[in-house]
Amino acid sequence: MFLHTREAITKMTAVLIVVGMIAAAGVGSVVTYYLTRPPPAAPVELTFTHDKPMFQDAIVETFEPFTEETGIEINIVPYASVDIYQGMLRPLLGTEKAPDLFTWWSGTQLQEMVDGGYVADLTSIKEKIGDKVPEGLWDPVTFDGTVCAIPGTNVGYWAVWYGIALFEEHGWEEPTTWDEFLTLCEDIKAEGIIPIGLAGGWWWPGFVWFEDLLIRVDPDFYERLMVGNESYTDPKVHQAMEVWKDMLEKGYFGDPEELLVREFEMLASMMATGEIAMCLNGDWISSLFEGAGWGPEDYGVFVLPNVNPEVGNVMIAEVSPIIVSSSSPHLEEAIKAAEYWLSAEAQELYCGLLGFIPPNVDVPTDILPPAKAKLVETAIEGDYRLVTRYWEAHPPDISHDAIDKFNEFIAHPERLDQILQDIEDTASAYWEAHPG
Amino acid sequence: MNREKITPYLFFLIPFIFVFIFLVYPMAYTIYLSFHEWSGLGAPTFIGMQNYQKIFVDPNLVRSLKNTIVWVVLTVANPVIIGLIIAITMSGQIKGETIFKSIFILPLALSPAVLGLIWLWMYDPRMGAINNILRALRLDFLCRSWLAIPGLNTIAMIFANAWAQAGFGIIILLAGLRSIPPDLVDAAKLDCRSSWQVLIHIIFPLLKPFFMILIAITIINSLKIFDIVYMMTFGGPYRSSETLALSMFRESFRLFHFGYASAIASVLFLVILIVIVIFIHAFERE
Repeated sequence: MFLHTREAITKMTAVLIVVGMIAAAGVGSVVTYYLTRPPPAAPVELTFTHDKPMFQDAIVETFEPFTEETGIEINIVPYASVDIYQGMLRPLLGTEKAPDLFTWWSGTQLQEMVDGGYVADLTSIKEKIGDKVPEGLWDPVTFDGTVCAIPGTNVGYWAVWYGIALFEEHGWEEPTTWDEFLTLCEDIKAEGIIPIGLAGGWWWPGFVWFEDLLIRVDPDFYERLMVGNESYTDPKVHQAMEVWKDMLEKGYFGDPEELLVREFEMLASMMATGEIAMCLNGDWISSLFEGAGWGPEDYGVFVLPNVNPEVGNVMIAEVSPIIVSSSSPHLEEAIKAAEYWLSAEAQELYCGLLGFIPPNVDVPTDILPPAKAKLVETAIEGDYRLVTRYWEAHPPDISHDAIDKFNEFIAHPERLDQILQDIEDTASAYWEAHPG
Repeated sequence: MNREKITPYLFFLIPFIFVFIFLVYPMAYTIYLSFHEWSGLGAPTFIGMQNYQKIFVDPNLVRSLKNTIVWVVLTVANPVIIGLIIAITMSGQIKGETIFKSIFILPLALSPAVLGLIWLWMYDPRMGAINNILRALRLDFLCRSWLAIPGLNTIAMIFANAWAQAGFGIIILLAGLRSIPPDLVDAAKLDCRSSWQVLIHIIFPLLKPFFMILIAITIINSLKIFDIVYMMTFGGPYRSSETLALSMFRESFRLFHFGYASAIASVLFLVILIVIVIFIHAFERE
């Protein structure tokens, strides 16, 4: 056999070594390729945290078409407690642990985050959507011309709600002037019914009548007061508060002590049973009405008439924004998700599920209960000026103290001068420490 | 070191790690924050003693302190007096003792949040049981909005809390009464002592350590009182029923003054620590 020769064995060994080297090089290349190639692109998953667990299902459902279309997954995390949500979220902002999208409050509540550079610039969304969203809804999320959030999970229009059956039974009609409104209150009281209800047990509703009366005296003054350019001891504040005082003293709000511990559920229930005739509230109260047994056709709404007839069409608006974190590693995708949220498609789905007023005017109003549809149409047709709610418009350091003082005023209207002076002292101290 | 010597330290290590993570570290961080201004955003700013100085000039804190003192004083009396009366009644062999015991001790099984919710309904001015009973007794003029009137609201919440606290007093004092040798009481009775004299000269001195435990725990719990006030009034209306723990909560989670809230927490901790030290010393003397 030729393998038995020394020369053949040497040749065979050389061939085997060469083949082995080629094979090793090939295997090595394959291994190197697999080890060094970029990993396949993982699907992007955004995190969206919010403090509205009752809206969780609707939020999940609203984002489903977005995920189907873009492949961007959204992990939606609800927090049951507002206090825990706020305490958890703030220290995370600016870090890589911050959620990509989150809900917060607008106006001054958002200002601190904007100043710290924790929120992404969403001006591009406004530029694309343009006038589909009323300008008044952009105001509380716009800082120095930069849009820092989108009007998101809820847009509340504040107006007077009433039971249609009760009004029809007594022949009462929606008032169009301030005098008509006071006459209506007097007529209701004469029937042994509390004209106006307030859920004072929730503490914050203490500011509701203050803000609405003040914008109906002078909305420009209200906006200047909110940013520290006016005083709480100004005659205009006195004028609004004197109107409120007069209403309290005439008993239009019922027993103040009962009012101060009344919960929202009780307010809705008392309206459904005809013990209370009206309440001034954001449109989100409709879900409480329906919980108290009213159907969508059972309640009506009108805008509170102006105290000063020269004031034009004006209404308080409450904007609950969605914010994109500036430290999001998926900034582009997060902005895309925010843009989708404000689209007519998403808003029709979301607001249809919850009966909320959509910020996008392209959404047909027939998805809303009749009273809300009427309110939206009134706002659009009347070209209403939307003014930011007190809670969002004023710094919390002032508003929290002021709300306590307004609640004290409800129980003790005779302390008006001292109460306004106390609020002014708090406000002055704040603005002195936070100039500009 | 041999295995036998190391083993106890290993067992000690596990609880030590938990105590360090969940108690020592947060406590140290709270003290650290109390010297800073921090809103939860960005890095804390060192401001020295300013937060502590503010505590003593803040009128809202003064009111919270007053309310907390009212809680301490009125709550201490309750489990001692009511607990003692019921414990003495139940220490005799009365019929249905188990049922009575269950009725009085049951509220202890309820969380303060549930307790607060139950009494929130009880005190409701329109539908609440308290006003309904008064109306049924034709005492309408006594009906009140119990939680809306400053001063009265704190008393009303203390009363609600007493329901649970009495049960705690009963358990401690009943254990104390059962530990007294019956021979001692019988011997005193044979010496022609009246029941009152037996109570004053025999039972009370022997119950002293139990009273001390009860008073110490009640004072500490009252200084920290939070849950029931949070549930029933959240310190309102117009901060009239706010306690120190609630002020701390409000400053931190509503106003984001984490530094100031930490200073309140540190002062509260110091006060409670002093109370504990006093009682430990007194207890050791006993």
